[in-house]
Amino acid sequence: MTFLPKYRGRSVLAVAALVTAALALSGCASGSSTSDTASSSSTTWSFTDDLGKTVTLDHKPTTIVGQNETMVSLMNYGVNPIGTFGSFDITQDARYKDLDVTSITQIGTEFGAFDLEALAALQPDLIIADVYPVDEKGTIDATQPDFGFSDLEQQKQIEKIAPIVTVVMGGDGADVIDSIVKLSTALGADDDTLATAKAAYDNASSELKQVAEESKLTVATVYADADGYYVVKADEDPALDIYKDLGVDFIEPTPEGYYWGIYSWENAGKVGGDLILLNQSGYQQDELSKQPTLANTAAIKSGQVYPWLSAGLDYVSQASYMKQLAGYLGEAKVVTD
Amino acid sequence: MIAVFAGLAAVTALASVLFGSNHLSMPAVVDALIHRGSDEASTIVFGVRIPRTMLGIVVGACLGVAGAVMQGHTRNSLADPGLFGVSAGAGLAVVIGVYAFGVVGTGITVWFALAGAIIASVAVFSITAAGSGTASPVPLALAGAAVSALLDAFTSYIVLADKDSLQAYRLWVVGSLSGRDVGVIWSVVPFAVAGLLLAFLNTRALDNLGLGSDMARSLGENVLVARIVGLASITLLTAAATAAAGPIGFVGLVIPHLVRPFVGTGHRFVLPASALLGIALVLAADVVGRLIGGVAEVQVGIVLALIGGPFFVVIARRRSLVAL
Repeated sequence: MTFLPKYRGRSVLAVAALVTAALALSGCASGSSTSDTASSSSTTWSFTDDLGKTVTLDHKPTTIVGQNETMVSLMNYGVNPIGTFGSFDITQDARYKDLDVTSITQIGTEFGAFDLEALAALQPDLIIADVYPVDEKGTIDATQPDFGFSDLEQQKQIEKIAPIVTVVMGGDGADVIDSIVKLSTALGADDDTLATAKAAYDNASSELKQVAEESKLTVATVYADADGYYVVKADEDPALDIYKDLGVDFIEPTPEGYYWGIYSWENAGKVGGDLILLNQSGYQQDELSKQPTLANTAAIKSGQVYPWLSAGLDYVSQASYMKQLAGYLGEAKVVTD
Repeated sequence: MIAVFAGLAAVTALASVLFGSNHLSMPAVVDALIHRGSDEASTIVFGVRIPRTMLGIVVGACLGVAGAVMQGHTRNSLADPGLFGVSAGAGLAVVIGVYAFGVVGTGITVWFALAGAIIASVAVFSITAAGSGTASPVPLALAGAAVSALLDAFTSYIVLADKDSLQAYRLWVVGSLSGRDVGVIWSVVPFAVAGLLLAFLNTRALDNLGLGSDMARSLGENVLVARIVGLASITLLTAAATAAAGPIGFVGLVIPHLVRPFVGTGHRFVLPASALLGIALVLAADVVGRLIGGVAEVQVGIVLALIGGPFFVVIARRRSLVAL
């Protein structure tokens, strides 16, 4: 598979193993200090990330540059970066529409574009990156750089400017949310903000759960292009995994492969589902309805196609998308047999 | 011999309707063909396989004939229709369509690709004409290579800077007959038909030019007119095929070589035989691609590259190559 819009996955075991390893490692390294959270009691700051890498600084980082798809979550908790990089422009992206981005310097807005000199000029204390597993076992490929860096060589250059904390964007969605909460707390997010966000999230979760139970709908989460119809394996996407746990009934694609089950257009009619959550790139609704094998499926005929947003893995973003999703499920009808 | 090639084309067309990544049984397909209903088999046969086969026929015939005309004019047995900057021009136009105008969907993209292909080849001919006065083969190939390189550079510049453009380009750049809008076929057919007509008008001239420009001139051939007709034909044919299915390599290169040992070098046989064998090759590669990918598929462009690569080496090394 070549370039695809998102590349995510999970394995509870592997992430658990990583976290355990991280605990063990940091336990050995720092003796009695607690791991996985920052110890800011003294003047030093230290944090052990999802990869088990411990970053220690002589003060709590105040100038942060981060991967934009993850930074949206930290910003929702009140942790504001001075710069971002990543595969989209934060002034144009829906995920950032409620956030103030005017004082943020973007040092990369396209996949593979990263302005090293601009990063150096910002003189950040800390860089926040993220990384995706490469298979359903949750393996992190150590020969590949974090998401958004061109290669390991560039990553080394970046590390010389400031230490990198990496968030693993795989495994249980709840674990990723927890991991980002821990990082945000370490960086000074206040408890009230977190508590308010958590309450909204719990509220949206119970709303989604209730609607999912009542609706009895089956949902296919897809990306489509000329090559075919790509159906996401909900277990391998952290956010979909959360919705699944709340009772949303996702179609499980049968073709082998990590993250996606790929159907040719001849086979696309077999996928089914009362409702389609459609990726925002690739073929859109009118193009789907031009494919003869899909045109006669219940979901397309009833027009039950809704946007699938890659909402950030934080309470605020998720609460917002869950409410939208609950709305879709509430409005759609069961149209398959 | 032409009848044998026609037979091959017909057999592959039939196979293209019978076989696919949805493993319908043969009786089910035949039944769907006879009693067209709204069941799954009918939808797949009439909605997917027949349009796809028609697209394969258009693309195969265009590329086969374009290759034969191209090799006839350049007298270079390694000439490929992509050499005139047609693929590069179409690619850049597709990318510009997305980047500057936000165009998505194969139905509109096809017009950008057609326009890009035609503009690029006109540019190549103009550069050549400005340089040497007559559109002679070698400067033409050089100009084509230079223009292609330039256009590809612009394409890279845009796709590296814009994710949506990269996405669209990625879909387009791997030649494929799958998932195309049926309207795409009708958009390119007029161009394909015009290209084929010009190619057949060019038949006698191609035979004469095969003896060299001077000899052709002494045989009463208006070399300039013959060149213009040939180049227009190649442009229209390649533009039509490329706009409809993306750049598909090797067909134009390989087909004339496969054909000549059987029908000789006379273009009144080479051209129709190339059309028919081009159809057979494209459809056969497409059917193979559908069957080796499980419930997914492998694009025809990739299958052809896998077959075409080794074949290219064989052509280049073979001494008994039927010379032009």
